[in-house]
Amino acid sequence: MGGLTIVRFEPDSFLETLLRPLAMAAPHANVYVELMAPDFRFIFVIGLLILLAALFLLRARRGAHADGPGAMSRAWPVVVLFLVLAVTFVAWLETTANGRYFVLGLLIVGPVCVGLTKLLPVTKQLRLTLAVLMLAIQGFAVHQSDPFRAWPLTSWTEAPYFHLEVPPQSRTEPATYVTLSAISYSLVAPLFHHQSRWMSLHNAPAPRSGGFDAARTETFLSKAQPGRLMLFAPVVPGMQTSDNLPVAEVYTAVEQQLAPYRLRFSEPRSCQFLPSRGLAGIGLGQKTEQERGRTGFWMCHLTRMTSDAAPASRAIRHGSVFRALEAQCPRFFPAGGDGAVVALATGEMRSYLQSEMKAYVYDSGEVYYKYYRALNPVLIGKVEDLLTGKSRVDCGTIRGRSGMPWEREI
Amino acid sequence: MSRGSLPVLERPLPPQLLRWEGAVVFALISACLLSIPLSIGAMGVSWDALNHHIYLGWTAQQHRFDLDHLGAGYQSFQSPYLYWPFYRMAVGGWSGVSTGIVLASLQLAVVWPLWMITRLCLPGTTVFDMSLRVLAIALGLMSSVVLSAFGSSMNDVLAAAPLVWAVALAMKPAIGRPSWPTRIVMRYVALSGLCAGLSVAFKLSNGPLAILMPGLWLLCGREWTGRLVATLLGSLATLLGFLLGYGYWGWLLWRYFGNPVYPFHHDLFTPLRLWLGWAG
Repeated sequence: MGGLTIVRFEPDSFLETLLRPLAMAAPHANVYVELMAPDFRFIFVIGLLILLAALFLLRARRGAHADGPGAMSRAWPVVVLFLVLAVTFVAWLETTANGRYFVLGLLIVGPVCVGLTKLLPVTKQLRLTLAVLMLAIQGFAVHQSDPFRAWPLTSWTEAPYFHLEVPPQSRTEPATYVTLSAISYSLVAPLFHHQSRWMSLHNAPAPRSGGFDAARTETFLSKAQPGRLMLFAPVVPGMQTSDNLPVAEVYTAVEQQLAPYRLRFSEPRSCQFLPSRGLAGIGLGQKTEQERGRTGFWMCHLTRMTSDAAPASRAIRHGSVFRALEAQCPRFFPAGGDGAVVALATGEMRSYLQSEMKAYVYDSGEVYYKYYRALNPVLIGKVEDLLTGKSRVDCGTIRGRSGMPWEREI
Repeated sequence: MSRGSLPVLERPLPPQLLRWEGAVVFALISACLLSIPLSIGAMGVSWDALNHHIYLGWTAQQHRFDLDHLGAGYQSFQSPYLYWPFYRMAVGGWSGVSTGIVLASLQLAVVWPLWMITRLCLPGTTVFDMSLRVLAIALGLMSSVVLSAFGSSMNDVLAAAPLVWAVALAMKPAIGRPSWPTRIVMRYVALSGLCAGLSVAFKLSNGPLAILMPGLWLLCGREWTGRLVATLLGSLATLLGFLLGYGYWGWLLWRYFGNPVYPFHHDLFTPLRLWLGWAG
């Protein structure tokens, strides 16, 4: 399944590849890593190389050969380290281009910068000043990006590492739990009975969807013990009853998502609210004490429907449009996407995990795409225009992705 | 010319300081880096920690492929062992700060090889030389990506540590001690290969970076025969390191999914599954 190799940070063109060291210095997020991590050091390396080459040529033109073979042997370790950096940089760009997978390069670029500085035919004072200047500039950039608070969504100060009021029965008896949210919240799994079974429906392709290894989803669900199959989902703020249970709209919306898995809420509906101070710590803004008390997870009993009881899946009506899109721009719309087309109330959607892209075809005739970093979907055109080739998605200008960081629009 | 009459930058450093330079630099850098989780006063819980870090540590202790499927999404299948300390401290009732300090201490494993590399590239015994070395190490660590790992459960720095060691150990005989006896050179190369293999085992994304290692081993030795032997030895040691770090996990993935790097490149393993009669 090559589809799991996400192209999130890979350059889309030769120019972007060449300019990546420049892009890395930009104070923007999602350039070579999710967080804002401006890095000037690769620019320094290029600048120092140009300076060294210029000075070398200048001295050669003047006929100065005072350095001799000793200079080469002094430079050799720096040359080797620079080559290590250059080779790994290219290999990194050609594979993931994700900064978290380039720690080696991010570390050795410092000694490369200072090593090249030491080779400059200038006074020691100037070399030291240049090194201090590079550290100051890079240090300022790092300080401005506040890396120490970049990743956390919440914090763990004292034990427990994540507070959740797990019902005693869930601690003592195994059950099968399915989660729906993009975050699996699997960190709470060790708090439940260790023989409990867990699956993230957000990732698991529905049985018969044609998705990757979808048969395993069916195998997993078919082994769930009746009466011990549960949905585990974070509470949706504002969608609770006074007892902190889901309102009717939640049941309806969730059942739509459960249907492809032949799952539905048990009758009579049986949900429990599990307060979680851990979850209350997540989110922007300060929560009131009342809001914190209403934050937690829902745990609801589910039932597996028999094949004949499950609602018939709607026939795919816009398959040809998705295929046309995939033919036009296979990098961002790889053939087949993540499997089945998802039926929406007013159209259809296909997701493409590899490129973090979604394509929407509405019954009204409009076709849109939405890149995950873009704020809004982008209109490609009308169905008939796309099918006849009058409308085309411009693979070189994907909103939220294409271009240098400072050129991008969200 | 007496020592005192030399300009400050030209003055030689005391031999004791040069001898203990690595330890002094390590202690200074460690103090700075360990102050990060202390100053935060808590352990950061990221999207990835909520999604899979604790779960992976749990599965490192006892795999759950016979119980769960995609328990932490597709992240459930990555090598879990570096997350085990995080999981143990979490379920063991540790405070966030203590956990952060322990994880940061483990990540300090990158500092010593970084100093080794720096010392090789910027040799010298004067105040100027050492100043440059300290600045080089500081500039190397001055990355938002690297520093953001301190105080969080992101294991990218820890997983990269063996690769930094691999480069440092290979560079030492390659450029630092070209006159070393072959036996010692080979020892360094073997250790370097072992580290490279471990780094790939801990994080497969280190694989594309580790391809540079044969290039470095080719520089180890005085004659071409010795260099080729070094490259072969380093490559075999890499394989050994990879098998030591990933063998059991890869075998589990093969046993349950018929693909030791599941879910990646699943189709590539179809012929092998057929040939070996893998039945799932």
